[in-house]
Amino acid sequence: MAILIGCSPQQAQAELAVGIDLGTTNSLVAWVGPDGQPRVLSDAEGPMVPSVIAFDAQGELLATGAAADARVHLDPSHTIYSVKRLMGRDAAEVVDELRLLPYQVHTEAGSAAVRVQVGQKRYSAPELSAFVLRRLKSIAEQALGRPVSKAVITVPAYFNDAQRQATKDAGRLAGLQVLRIVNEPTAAALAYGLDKGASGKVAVYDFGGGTFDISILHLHEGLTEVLATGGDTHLGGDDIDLALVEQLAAGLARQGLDVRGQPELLQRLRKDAIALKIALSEAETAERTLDLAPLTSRPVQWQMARAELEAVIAPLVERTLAPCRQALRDAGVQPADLSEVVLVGGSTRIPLVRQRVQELFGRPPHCELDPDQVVALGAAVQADIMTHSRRDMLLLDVTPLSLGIETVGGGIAKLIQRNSSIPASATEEFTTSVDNQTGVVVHVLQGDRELVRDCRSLARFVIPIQPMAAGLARVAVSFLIDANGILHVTARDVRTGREVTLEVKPSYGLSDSEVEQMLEAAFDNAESDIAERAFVDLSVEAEQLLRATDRQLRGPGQRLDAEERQDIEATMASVRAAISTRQADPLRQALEELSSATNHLAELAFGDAVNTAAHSQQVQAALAGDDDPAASKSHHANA
Amino acid sequence: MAIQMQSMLASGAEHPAVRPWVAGELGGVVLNRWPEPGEALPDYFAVLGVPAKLGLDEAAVELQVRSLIRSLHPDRFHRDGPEAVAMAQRHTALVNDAWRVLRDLEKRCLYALELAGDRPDEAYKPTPIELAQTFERNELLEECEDAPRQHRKELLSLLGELEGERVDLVEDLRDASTAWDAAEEPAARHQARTALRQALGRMAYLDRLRNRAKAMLDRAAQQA
Repeated sequence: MAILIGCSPQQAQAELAVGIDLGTTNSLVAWVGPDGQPRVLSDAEGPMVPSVIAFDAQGELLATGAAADARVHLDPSHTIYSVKRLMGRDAAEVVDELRLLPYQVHTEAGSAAVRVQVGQKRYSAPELSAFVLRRLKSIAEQALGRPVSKAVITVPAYFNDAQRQATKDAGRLAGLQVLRIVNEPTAAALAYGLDKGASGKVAVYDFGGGTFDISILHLHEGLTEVLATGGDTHLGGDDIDLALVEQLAAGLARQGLDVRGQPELLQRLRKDAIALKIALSEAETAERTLDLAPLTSRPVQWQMARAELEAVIAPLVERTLAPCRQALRDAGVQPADLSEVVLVGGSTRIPLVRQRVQELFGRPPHCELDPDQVVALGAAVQADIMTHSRRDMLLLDVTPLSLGIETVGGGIAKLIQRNSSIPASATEEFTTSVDNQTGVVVHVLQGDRELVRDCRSLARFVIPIQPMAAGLARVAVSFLIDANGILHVTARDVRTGREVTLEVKPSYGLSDSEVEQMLEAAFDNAESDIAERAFVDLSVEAEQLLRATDRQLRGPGQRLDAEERQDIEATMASVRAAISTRQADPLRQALEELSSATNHLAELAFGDAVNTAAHSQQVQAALAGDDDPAASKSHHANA
Repeated sequence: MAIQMQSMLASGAEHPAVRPWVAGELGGVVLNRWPEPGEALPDYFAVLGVPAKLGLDEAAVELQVRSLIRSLHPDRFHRDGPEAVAMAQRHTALVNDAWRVLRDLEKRCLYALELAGDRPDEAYKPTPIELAQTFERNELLEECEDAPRQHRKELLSLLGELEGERVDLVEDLRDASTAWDAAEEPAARHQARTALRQALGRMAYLDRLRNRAKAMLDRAAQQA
């Protein structure tokens, strides 16, 4: 009585499945077209969608992506970024992260998962990520002209069970069936097409916005087999940015400018630090004008040399090397055995990173594909493999952390060692130690330390047992880590063969019923979401326009005649009124009126900007050689 | 299962090619019926369809494992619905579990002894010389416990000794497993089993010492 499972005979209409790189800083969506080539999908803003979600003061969604990113320094407490750092985490784990983040985080009774306070609302990390995923879904749907309901989503290889589960929950909340959670480095290897016919061992060094991952893979005839993986979920470009901000702050402090306790200013400095970092990947020195309002109204010119940047970030780069060596050991591979080294993640653009990687592995790394896109492209390839049942290619991943259960005395009995191929399972038999005991408590942990307190608690549950003499009851508990790296637990009474129902409480996270509730809420809102979205996009545009007009009225606008000025002020008022209606159509009309009323003003402002630019060059030339640029350099060009 | 295993092991050198329990290629993929509750799963040798021998051709079995995984992996069954995926998941996990144990000589030997109803760790009986040596080593570790940093040298040299002994033991284990595979007479089988137990038991003991010494060196490094 074998169960026969063949390939389904009817090639049902092609399912649209996309690959999503849900990043700490940026997210992307990609798709494999009929030509078999993966490509990144984008809207007018380009393929990189900043993983940022902006809310209004009440905690209602205002914008995602670039529009939200533009609000990070305007309204830091209602603009949420780096959500990935909170995924699947409890309050104790995010203490360090919160140092970096300007928003408030809470926990609620009955659940260890953290919630972010935005206005009067509290959002879980999966809910926040779902906003970004919904945006990516809609970008894909617009680009492809068809609904998209399935996705492969990538996570850092080193993500634990809770973090993977949270990512899957986020997908569900965004209305996506998550085909697979795939490790980012593995996806990158797929994108490189290293799999096609090629054979050999490959290292993928993935230094992203928030996490660092190293994977050693073995490729043979379409099979991409992960041999070992390692990493640090607390190490990424964000840390580099923070170190640079601290460096900038220290430098400014020496000039008597104390930027501490200025959240908006610190957010601007973070953008400056990022700009300097990026520029220094190309140039030996970089310069940036720092806007230090409200500390001082005069802009400060800041110069940084690559050597200075490297001195600041060297310890962080160094921290990536130990996991690399460990992964090589775990895989039983010498650097000389590797046929390729692949770089993934924006932080691998930094020359120092490339240099250290080259030294460690003894060969120049591969970097033809855009390190920002390669993961999304690989996820798309995996989505294609799964929806088209492509038999020539297959991805075999490993579990990054050992799975175990607590033993008497706070030790851990390892059931499945780290770097085991998944899916993997283990069965453990439990019995009672006293007469008439009615249950056995099981505590499941993930981690590679020897003590319970150093490992991540995944779940606790009680095996219910009929009262009988000690040692008579026998319950076999099976632990299965699925292909996504997510744990499933089942139990069976050994004597009767009956399935024992377990109530497994995840130590982290959202219970199934919580996810259901959130899903219902999401469906209730689905229709209004679309209208809302149109309004939100417009309102972001409107606010930008209002701010610019306001600024120009105070500058070149002084030269307008009274009637023109009144006209502009009246249309500005009607735009504000239209925003308060929260309706897209009246706002669109008001915006058109404002833009035609400000034609003359825009001309004046443009003329001034050209003059200022010329003037500022003269000033800079005149001041070259001045040893205290911050004290005397000043110009007032408005962008 | 244990009894059947014994008879297979005892049946001599020549084995017919065994069909893997988990799969066969018949146009599509046939997944075996999963055992009813209470029924035992096949042993790991049977899962992979390899002769129940300790002297396993690891490279050849690896190829077999890859081909099984290629046809069984849940990613291939996505279009056939969640039940098929779950079934494929269990089968693939079983293949991975089997290969995790059988690919490694030590784990393979331990597993074979377990199948035969043995607990090698408990069955290990140190020789008098080994006992004396154990005594000395425990004493050394006690001394190092409080100030591992001052005893770094001793700890490192102990680790070196342990590694060296371990290499020799792997050779012993290989010999014992060859003897186990070849044993036909009950007396020869008993002798091979004792040799396996001794080698494995001693390895477990060395590993405990090694872990203790390593933990101390870690502490020494942290103190530095």
